[in-house]
Amino acid sequence: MKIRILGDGLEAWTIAAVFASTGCHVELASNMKLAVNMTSASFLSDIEKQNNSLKNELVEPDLIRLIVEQKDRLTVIPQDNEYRDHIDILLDARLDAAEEKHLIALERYANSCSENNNLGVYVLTQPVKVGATDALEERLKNTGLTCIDCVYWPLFIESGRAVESYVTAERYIIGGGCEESQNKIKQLIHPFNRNNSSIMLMPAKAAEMTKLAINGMLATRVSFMNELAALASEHEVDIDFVRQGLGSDPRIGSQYLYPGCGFGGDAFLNTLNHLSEEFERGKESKKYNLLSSVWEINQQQKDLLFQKFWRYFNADIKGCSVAIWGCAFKPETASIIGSAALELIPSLLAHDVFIKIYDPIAANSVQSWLGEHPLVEYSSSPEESAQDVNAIMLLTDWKIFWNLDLRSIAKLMRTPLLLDGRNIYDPEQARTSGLIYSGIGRGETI
Amino acid sequence: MAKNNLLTERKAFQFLKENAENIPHIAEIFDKQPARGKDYIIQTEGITLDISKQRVNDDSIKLLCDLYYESNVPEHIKMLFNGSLVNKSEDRAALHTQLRVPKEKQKESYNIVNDQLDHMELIVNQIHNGTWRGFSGKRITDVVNLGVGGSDLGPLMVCHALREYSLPSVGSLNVHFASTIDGSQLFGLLKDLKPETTVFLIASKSFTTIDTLSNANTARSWLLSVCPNKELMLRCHFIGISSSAEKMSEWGIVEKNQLSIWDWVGGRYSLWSSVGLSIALALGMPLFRELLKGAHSLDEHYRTSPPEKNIPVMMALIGIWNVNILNIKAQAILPYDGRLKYFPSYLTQLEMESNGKSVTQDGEPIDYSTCPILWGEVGANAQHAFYQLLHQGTQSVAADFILAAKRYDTNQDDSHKNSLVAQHELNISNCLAQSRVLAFGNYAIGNNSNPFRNYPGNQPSSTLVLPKLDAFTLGSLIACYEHKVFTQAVIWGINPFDQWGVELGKQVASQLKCLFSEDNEPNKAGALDSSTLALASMIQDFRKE
Repeated sequence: MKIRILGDGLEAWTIAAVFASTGCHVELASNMKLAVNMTSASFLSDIEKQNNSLKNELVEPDLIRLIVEQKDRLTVIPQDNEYRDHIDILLDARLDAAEEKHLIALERYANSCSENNNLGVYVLTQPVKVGATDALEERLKNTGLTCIDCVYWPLFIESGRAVESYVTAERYIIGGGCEESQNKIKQLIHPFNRNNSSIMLMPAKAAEMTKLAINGMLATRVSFMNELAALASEHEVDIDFVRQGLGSDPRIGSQYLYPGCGFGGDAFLNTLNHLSEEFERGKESKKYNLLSSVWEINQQQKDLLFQKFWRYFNADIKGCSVAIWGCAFKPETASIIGSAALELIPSLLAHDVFIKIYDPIAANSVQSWLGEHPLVEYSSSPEESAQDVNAIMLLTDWKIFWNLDLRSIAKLMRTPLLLDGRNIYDPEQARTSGLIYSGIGRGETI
Repeated sequence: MAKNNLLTERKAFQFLKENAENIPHIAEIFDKQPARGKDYIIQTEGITLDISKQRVNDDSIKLLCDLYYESNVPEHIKMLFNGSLVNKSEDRAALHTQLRVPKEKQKESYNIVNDQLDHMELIVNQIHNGTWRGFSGKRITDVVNLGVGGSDLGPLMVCHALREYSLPSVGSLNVHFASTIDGSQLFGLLKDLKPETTVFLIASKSFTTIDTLSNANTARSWLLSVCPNKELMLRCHFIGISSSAEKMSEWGIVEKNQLSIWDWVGGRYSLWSSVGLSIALALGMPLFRELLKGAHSLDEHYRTSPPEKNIPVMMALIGIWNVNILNIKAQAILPYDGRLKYFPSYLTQLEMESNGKSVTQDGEPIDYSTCPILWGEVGANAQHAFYQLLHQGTQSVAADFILAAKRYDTNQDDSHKNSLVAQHELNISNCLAQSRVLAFGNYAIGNNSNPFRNYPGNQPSSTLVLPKLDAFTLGSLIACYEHKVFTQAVIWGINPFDQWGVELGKQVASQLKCLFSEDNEPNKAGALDSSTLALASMIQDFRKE
């Protein structure tokens, strides 16, 4: 099968590599230029050359390995490359592209198909306005081109485990399209999941809305947990007991019940933006719908560790220093989009607080976002960053933080204040290690 | 400079009285001067003044200009601008114009003005961008301005007028005002506000104003109940604006939260100083600077234009003409714009506190009228309230109509923009209709024999037209009235910058306080009249029930 993919982000690269690995010829229309004899190292350095924080989300070892393995079947072409051969499926995986951009790509593809009397399938994969797929098809028909079927196929690629999240997905949703196009898409799914029952067919509009609804629901769970955590903190209850109790109820389940210092990530935030726009556009438009509260709570969570720090030092924070552990919005990615670090760092700097940053792979992303700053230093280990600081703020639950020797870390610090934004430590253990420990709804109430 | 003799002793004044005898009904004036509508217009950047519907002719204008020169107004304008002690009874300058001089033109000796603007801007930015935190570390969501008189009316009026232009940097910050000594406004606010995210601005020139300080004390106790760390609470939640750093510190305002004003800024002329902090917080600092720019532009117009082309001077002269020659003792302020809702009440202070005087600068009693009774309301609403009296009552009343030509011209939602524009067109028609009917009465529609439908007309009015109401034109409009007030004060020979009249009441109030406090010691109040005593005892009886 011949496939062309439009897009530069994590989703586009992941499906490009995955489809190539099943024998497809894949053309990826990207702005990146790759080395002729691509290696993991050359790819990494190509990513860095882009100097664009978006690209940092590609820094996933599994993904890079797969991309490099597929270099013979995976061709990177310029964005507006001509169509030499017939392309079976055009996947438009551009994040946040305007409708006009979609239409231009669609028309060019349609022209090439109609010249050769072929049927083409145009697939949108990113979150779009509800009704966007049908509207595109309608607009194309109005130009007289009928050789293309437009389909909405939401992918659920998670950063940090991009390849895994596609190949082990438990369900696939195909929105709209005729049987022939649906079958072509099923062909892309079958190598990983031969079970047709895990494929759901529904109208394009419904699929578009499902894509938005899933992330909206997950975000709502997290914000609800965060609100509960604030309550737990007031009553000096450890939220983790509540989380476990809640998760054990089969009607609820244990996923996405972790309170923390806010969720982020390009894809996730993008979907939520789309969803809140849908709500605002709706007939019953209300400024304060549930989602806007979810959003507000999340913003508040990103600021929470600063507030604890401020309260602990009675607002006397000028000249203090803080170690920030983890800046990636989640582990196993170098992306910092929507991370609490992006809120906390400017707040701390505005009050002349000295910052030492440690992150296993996202430090470069922070550096390119922030530039050189006299009050910011990058450390090569968690221990190094803890030296002489007034507080540690843990923002990402990287595995490396879980089993550190807290006792010796407490001794390194000027004030042994550990603000755990991901609740990874046991409060009692942290306390006996000599730390003043405050998490999100557990540990000391600060 | 020659001693400032009384208005009635001036030559031009006598000629004006003679001139007035020949002035007919406004309708007839128009018959004689059909092109009046075009000729009696004065313009400057941002403001147009139409005085064609005043009961004056070319001779009266000429004589009024003579009066202007005979009263030495040009010399007084110079003194106002150069910092002379124009406020004799308090031995002070009145340099509000200096507050509006652009940074690059500011004299070195007034760098303090720029310093305070910079300090304001710092605070505004910190609150807007979230650097400023409450005691619990949260960002500020609400600001309450505690002030009264000039520390309340001006900022409140401007914030309300320009709210729709509020810059994106302001975000969702809410700015509130509380002024009343009884605490009612504050009581209403405190119910809804969260202490941890509220900042109070205490604006009082002397920092002893009892109205403001009693509100401030209540706010302080409110915060103390949730943040017992007093030092932290004061640092995070109170900003002082005063000329007395000492009094601010004494109350508990930390140094970095103190903004200064100076002796040479009068309370009712203070919205241009750091008293305008609430404006900058509600609208954004760039808009506050635009307001200053508009006022400065008008200052230059006032300082450099000859009287016949000078808007504030002509407003002042027409005012003198109406009060002292035509014996009209009431002045209505009628903005045809809901955004100028608080403009009339702002002007009541500016005009009546400034020019409600009956002795000259040197303390000599005067035998002629000064400031008329001034009141007003959004014009279209006032049509359903007091216009009846203007049209068919027995009083002569002069009126100022104020109107912005353009409205709803920014990118609004199309669905109701057209209907809003239609409302504005209706509003303009109403404004022009009212001034027309007030002036021409029956002449506007043809005679009517029904006595209930008789409109005598001949009520004089001016119309001020702004191309649009924005920070610049509002700044000009306010400065216009300030300079009108000053010009009139010079001609009347009075001091517009003191307010001794309000002192005695304050003094007696503090004397009576002991009648109502817990340690009821009525003897401390001294000998009182029977009316006050009877009222006090009745009130105390009610309170004990």
